[in-house]
Amino acid sequence: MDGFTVDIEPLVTASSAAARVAEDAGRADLRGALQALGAGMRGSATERALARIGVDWPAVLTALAGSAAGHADAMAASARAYRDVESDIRRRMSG
Amino acid sequence: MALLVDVLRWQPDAVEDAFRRFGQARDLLLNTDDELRAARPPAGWAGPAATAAGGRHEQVAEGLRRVVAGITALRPVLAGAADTIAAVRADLALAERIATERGYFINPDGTVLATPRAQREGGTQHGELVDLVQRALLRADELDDALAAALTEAAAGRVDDGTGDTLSGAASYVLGAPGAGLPPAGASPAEVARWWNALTPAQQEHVLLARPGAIGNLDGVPAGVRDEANRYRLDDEAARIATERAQVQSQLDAATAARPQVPFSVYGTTAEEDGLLARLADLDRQQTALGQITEVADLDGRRLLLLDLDSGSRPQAAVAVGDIDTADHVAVFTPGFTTTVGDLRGYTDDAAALRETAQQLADERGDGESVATVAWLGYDAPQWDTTFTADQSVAGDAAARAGGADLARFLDGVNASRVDDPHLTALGHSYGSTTTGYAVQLASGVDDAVLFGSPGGSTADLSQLNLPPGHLGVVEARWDPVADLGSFGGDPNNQDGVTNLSAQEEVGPGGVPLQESTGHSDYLTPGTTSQYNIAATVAGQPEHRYLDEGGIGFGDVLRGGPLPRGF
Repeated sequence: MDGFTVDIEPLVTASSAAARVAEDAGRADLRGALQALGAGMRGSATERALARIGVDWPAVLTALAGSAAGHADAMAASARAYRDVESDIRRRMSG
Repeated sequence: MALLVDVLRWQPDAVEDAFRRFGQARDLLLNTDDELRAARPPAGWAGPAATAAGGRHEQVAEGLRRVVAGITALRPVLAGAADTIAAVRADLALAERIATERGYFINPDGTVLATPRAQREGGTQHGELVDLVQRALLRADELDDALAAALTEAAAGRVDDGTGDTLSGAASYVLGAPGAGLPPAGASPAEVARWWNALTPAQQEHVLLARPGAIGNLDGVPAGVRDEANRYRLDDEAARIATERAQVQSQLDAATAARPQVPFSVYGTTAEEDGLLARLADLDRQQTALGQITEVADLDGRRLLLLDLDSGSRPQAAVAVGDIDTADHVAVFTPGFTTTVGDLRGYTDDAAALRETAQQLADERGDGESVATVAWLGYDAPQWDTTFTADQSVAGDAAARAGGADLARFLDGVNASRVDDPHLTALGHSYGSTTTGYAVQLASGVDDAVLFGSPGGSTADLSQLNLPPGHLGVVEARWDPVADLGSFGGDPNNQDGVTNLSAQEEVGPGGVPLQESTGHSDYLTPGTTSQYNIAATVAGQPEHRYLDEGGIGFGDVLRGGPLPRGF
């Protein structure tokens, strides 16, 4: 499919919402919680499990925050592109 | 199996901190639910970019659902972990003590040896010690295994998040059906506490997440849980007010548009418009109150134990300073005439200062016992504009009776929600002392009460108060006319069996001067004798209070008593 249809303002709104999701997901401190648990359970199976997953799990969240930010940027870029096309067409038609 | 030497290094406080941090992380993610929904590519957007955006949104949403599901599955396992570790360590400490006393030696791996001394003395505790140590280590092992497994599953994203598309849906799915409902309406605080304690940690989490409105104000539920539930409700209440306000405004606009519009109209607003305008004003009051409550709840160390914006004539709230669930001494302070949640900050600051003084006394003279205080604004205190409203007039006791019943439930709830029995003190100022008096007639677990600036403590017969004899204190400052009104059960400072506490200048502990408080509003001012006396009562140190042998005020003279102090 080559063409597109879009209402630009809802796209801008969705982009802003995605940016806020990225921000909140980035603030959720999974790493701090895991570190506190490790400090409380020295020499345990829990601590050994934490050694395996203590980096990966927070990294998943960081990656998701990054994806949400990318999602926000992509929608914002799309909105800008659609707006440019629209402006261009309007200019041509009025010219 | 876990080694004894390792288990002894486990730290309940750090594990409790981890539990709290996981909760914060989960709450932060749950709060993004609305944003996540709004971040979905808009309907009607079609084309390759739209398809790509849809896929990306679904990938983020599913990833976040898995994280929320993982944390949600982990929290119930972690919920009792700190208590379990503390109990295991207590058992091991007991075993160590017995071993030392009886000549045994506990190896770092948990095995028990009888020393030559035990053999010589024919000790018989070997089996008992082995059993005690093994049971403790087994319990530690079970907890450790469960935590390690829950962590591994959560981090691998293997916790099933169901088929819904929201983060809260994922959390609810993990916790499953509560299977326990809610306690029946009208259940006593003791019944509520039994219901709560019978739930599994997962069920408790489910109720907390799914029904915060049902338990935030429920007397008998632990204070920490009430606080968490009410903090969820701050956002819910803001959304409720905004939604209803928009609806009412829209109805008002429609009603106004339907009215004949003519220049210099002789038409006033219609009854329908008046009703809608009144509702808008009420919603604005709720919004203001919500802001005031949120501001106080956000201060460090505060716990929001009551949040009620719309069931009474005015918004109500109660805020604790300190940990009500564990404090050895708990005091609940009820203010009086003209109180609204607009005063919550000031009264919570009073409660904080009182706690500080009481804690200081406990630290200096006690054995490190802890103190927590509550500013309870949980009733419709009389206002100037309700003076001629029968059930809310400051001249009558109806508001105090109704408020006293609610306060009694709150006080009983503090006791019922705990496994131990804290030293509980009810404090009432002005009309709040009358409310407190009625509460103490109904509540069963109050150990001490202090009424200050009291127009009457609800009864002339102190035997009607559920207090141990001699445990009702009264403070009356010079030039406090309210304290001499003698309106509700008589002037408390003249009643037999009351302990009159000084509000005069005194030389305090260590020679530090304590200031006199005068008038009606300085009883809780730090550095005064009255605040010190109230704090000493709260800290369970009645022997260190300064008594007021006179106990006579100006009003007493008018009624034929001896001259007041200072004359």
